[in-house]
Amino acid sequence: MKKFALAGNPNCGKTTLFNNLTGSTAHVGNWPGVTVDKREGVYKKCAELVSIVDLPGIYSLSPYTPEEVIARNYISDDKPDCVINIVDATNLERNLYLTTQVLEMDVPMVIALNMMDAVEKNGDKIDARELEKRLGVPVVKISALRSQGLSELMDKAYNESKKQRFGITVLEESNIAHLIADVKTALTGEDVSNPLFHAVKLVEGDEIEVDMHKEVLGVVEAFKKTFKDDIFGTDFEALIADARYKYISEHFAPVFERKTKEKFKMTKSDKADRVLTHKIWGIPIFILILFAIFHLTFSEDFLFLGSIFGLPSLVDLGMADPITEEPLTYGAKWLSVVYNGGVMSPGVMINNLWNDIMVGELFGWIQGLVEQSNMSDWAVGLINNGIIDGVGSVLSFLPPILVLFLFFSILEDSGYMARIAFILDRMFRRFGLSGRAFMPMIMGFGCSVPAMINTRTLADEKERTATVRVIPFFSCGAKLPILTAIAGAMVVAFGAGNADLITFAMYILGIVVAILSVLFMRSTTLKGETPPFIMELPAYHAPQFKNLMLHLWDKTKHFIKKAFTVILASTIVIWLLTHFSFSWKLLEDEQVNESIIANIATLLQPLFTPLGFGSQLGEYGWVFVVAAIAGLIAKENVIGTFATLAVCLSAVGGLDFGSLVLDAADGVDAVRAMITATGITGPALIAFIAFNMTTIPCFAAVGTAKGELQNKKRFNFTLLFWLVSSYIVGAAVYTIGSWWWTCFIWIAVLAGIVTFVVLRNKKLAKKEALL
Amino acid sequence: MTSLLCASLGAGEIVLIIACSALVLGVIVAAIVRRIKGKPSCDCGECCGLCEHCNASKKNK
Repeated sequence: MKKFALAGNPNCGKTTLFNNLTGSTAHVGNWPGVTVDKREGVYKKCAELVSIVDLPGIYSLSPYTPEEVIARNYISDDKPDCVINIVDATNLERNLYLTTQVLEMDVPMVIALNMMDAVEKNGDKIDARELEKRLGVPVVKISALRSQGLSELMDKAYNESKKQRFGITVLEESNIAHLIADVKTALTGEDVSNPLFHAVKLVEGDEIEVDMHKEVLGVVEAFKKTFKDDIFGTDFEALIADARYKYISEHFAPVFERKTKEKFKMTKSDKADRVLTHKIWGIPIFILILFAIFHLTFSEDFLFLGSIFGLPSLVDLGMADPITEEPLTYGAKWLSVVYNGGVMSPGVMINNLWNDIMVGELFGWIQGLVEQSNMSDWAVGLINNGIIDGVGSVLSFLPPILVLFLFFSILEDSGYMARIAFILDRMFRRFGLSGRAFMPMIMGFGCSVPAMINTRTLADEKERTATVRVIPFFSCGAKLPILTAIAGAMVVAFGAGNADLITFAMYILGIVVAILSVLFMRSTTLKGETPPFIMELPAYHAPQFKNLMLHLWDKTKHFIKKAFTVILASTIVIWLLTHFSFSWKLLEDEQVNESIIANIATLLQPLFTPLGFGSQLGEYGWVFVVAAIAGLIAKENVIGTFATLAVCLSAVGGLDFGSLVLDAADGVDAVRAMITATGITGPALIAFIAFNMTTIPCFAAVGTAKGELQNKKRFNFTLLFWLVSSYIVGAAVYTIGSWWWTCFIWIAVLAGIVTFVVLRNKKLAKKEALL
Repeated sequence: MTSLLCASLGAGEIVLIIACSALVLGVIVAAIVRRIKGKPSCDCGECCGLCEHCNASKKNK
């Protein structure tokens, strides 16, 4: 099978083309650095099957970051049958810089002029035939997004793959042409493949090449000593880059005919950026957008209409029970989907529709069937209270997760996400990170695993380590059920404001903890220079419906798969542990305090007393310990565990559940049952969320962190860091929430630590200066 | 308190026990196999197959 490699600058549309050619659904994002490793797919429409390899984006074949090394090594060492060089036609000159380097390799190649639709929309023209003549390789106009020109591109690539091609260089006209020719001759003598490419890189002083060709290094250095440029001196890298750009400007740029003669005309994106990336307004606008997203997803009082106009609730209208607040008629139930004292936000409407009408009815019907069967009580309990309530409570959060990620995908696809990295760079720089580190962090809102893998785009190892450590603080999709269920329960149980405000505040808390942690690490164990940040801001464009749906489909697929495997297995195990004693006796629901799990968790309970969910919660307080431990397997387990335990606790005599009509398959009800059974306070619940948000993440994320950190000591320290930071954050939230004046103690402790670090660093700097 | 063994075990209960055991064991075995292969279970849109310690990555390297 032939192998074609897709190479090009970051964000030029390689993955979009890859998905179109292979029918894959790889993640596409409108920001540079989405792809961090090569991926393969098969194109079936040529005369024979063709393996397509999507490479990470690179600006040059002199790599700096790990993912750039992957792209370069693949083209240079794996010898694909053809390289399809994707060129962003809207940025022709800059993209051709990489082309001039690929041309130097002895590999067949085809240029794909992508985004031609955007060029034509701007009224500009590119003479592809002329460019083809000047480059000496086929040039095909395409639009990967609209699937235009792809067959022609693949046919040309297939034809080229049958031919042999030798590298050519645009440096022939430069003053170092003879130097390159001499080195090439020396390399050819050593039987090195791609001699021209390696010769140019050796002259540049490329670190990888210098390590690879030590045998000819002496000769190369001797050649280089005979040369000196008037402008660049012996800075060969700068000299070659300048020569390439000059050549591109003189020979290739003329094929681009602009509609307007003004070269630097402000585009719509530029105009939008004047506001969205403003040095003062940029961050407030970002926070406002983030709040709007949470409001649209979680608010039960959309646009605060209920609060502003004092709209009546269903109880006020006589349509719901005054004690339980349950709708009295089926019509009222439907009305409660969209209105109850306030208009529901779109996210809540979908959530209500899913939970009250669809899943609620379905699960209720199944549970009814199980109860009517002849199965024994324990089997009915296991199916209804263990499996259905446990999994149902997790599935009940699918709608808000999807709505939230739809908004995040829109931000990503539109190009705004890349701007956030840009506007945060100024702030991050003060904390020792570049804005580039923000991209993997924001990916952490989806899942920590790909986010940690994406840290490969960071060249500095210490910056990578710090970023990997704080990624779990960016609350992932799996933690959303914890946030939503507890926030919802707090609103009902304590009348605590709005669920959207609580959820939003917890996300912000995660970001603040991440920033403080980075600041601490970069001032102590991971000290180092903040790397420079250069990022190409992609043009804004309307999000692609297909991309958005693919993102959501990925999320749904994974969530449902996880619910019916890991979560289901966990709920079964938890049900067993709550229904068996150490003497292997089957227990009734109300005997839950004698269960294996209760006995073990009670031993650990005092450890969580400073966080508000320890010994002070009394005999049933162990439920929070069990949930937190179950969350280490998968964070969704926290609510699944509450649901399983809620049924047991509801059977315990002496516990007054008041107005709560328990539907354990509803995560909010499950948490309300925990509040009633344990008497946990609001601050302790917030501390519980904060602890779960910042503690050791799920098994999958821990495994990935281990792989990405590539150092056992560093990994062990990372585990300890997560444990300690979550404990401190939980304790701070609980104590400040319970006794506001303790904030002065925490501020004093923080000030003490900062002073100690600053003084220590000054002392160390003095010592270093003396040495 | 009733011992599980004393509880009535009809066909439904036996099927339930077997199904639950198979599921729990299946998830544990799958997790171990994935761990040996070095594949994390995440929602990364298939790009996890390319991560540092997975088979695909080792093969490519």
